[in-house]
Amino acid sequence: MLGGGGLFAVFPLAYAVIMPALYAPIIVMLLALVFRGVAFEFRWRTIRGKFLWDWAFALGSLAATFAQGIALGTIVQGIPVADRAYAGGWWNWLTLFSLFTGVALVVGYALLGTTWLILKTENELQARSYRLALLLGPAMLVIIGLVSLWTPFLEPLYMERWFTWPRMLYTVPVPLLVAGAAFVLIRGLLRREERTPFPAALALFVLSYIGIGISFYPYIVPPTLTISDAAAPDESLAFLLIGAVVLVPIIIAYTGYAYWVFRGKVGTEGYH
Amino acid sequence: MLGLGLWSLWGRARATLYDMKALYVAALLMGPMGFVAVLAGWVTTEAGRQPYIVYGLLRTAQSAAPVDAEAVGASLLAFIVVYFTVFGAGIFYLLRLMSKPPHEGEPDSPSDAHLRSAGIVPAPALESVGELQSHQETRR
Repeated sequence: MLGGGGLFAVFPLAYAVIMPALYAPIIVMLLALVFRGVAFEFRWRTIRGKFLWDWAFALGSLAATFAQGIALGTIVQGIPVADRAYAGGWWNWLTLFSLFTGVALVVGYALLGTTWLILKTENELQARSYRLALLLGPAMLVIIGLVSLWTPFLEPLYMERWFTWPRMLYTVPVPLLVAGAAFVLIRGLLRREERTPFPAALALFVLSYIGIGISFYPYIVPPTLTISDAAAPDESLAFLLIGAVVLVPIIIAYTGYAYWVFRGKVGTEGYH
Repeated sequence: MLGLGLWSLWGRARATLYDMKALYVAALLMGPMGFVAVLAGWVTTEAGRQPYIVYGLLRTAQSAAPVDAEAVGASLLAFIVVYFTVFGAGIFYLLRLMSKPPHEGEPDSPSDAHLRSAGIVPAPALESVGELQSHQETRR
């Protein structure tokens, strides 16, 4: 949500091109999030229907993540632009690659979820999370590898970003750090460590996004619009910068505080 | 809606607020009016400013996104289905909650629902204004 709003404010041209290109997956994501959000409120109000809202939460999460992954894949595979506007149809997003990135994000979020549960729970649920994470972790690594190999062949630009000398000097640390994070993750899971798997999974995500950044730069809608093409006028950006400088630290602070308040194991009490 | 508010104030001033059955029936019937008012407001602004989307500057037709009509139609249909499902369930639970009358000595939390500051925390049943003051300390 913040991404969409921020894109609209800071890169209006990118917003105008990306949103029509992603129309179907984004609508699916929004509708899935409706079920996800409302399930929390309704499952307390019913006994017979509780399982329905549990499923609404699970399937809503699954659909939202899958749609998000498809959206990301659609941007990576390139969006046709003509005359500063989207020039494709409303099914352009549907390719083998975007479906694969959809699955990839589901696996990735599931890995984040299981490693988070390892951190926050005990006994049976934790044991189950370890078992799941030991399946999801290697799956995630295979998927990262496949997407990384697939991406450069989608667009000559990406190939050039990653595999030309001396640019490679800057890009090689990324796969090396991915290997490091993978090592920490798998070793932590095998040793039944509680605190290392989640940060390692998080690091895989951060590195993957850095990888996308390396592929894209200086484009925001590859292969046509650059970041400066799509940026809002300087006056708007200056205005937004002031807002961001004030708001972003506040958001980080209260989010951090919320995590601090709920630190430690969940226990059997539970919280909303 | 304003009239209903004034009516209840009048009852409060004459200290007959808790015996005005007609007022309660009217309040019940007025239940969906807030929703109707919100929708009416939207229709007024959105229909009233046509054919402009930025009044006097940009026409709606000029600002439309390059999205196929079928795509817009399909998403509208999907929104209708989802909203009817979710609102339908919400109204069902609301009506079920309303069908259970409150009784004395009711526990604070009506079910195993989570508690929160702005949630449903039933205040003690109050017969008169005088009791409101005596109960104030015990209310959370």
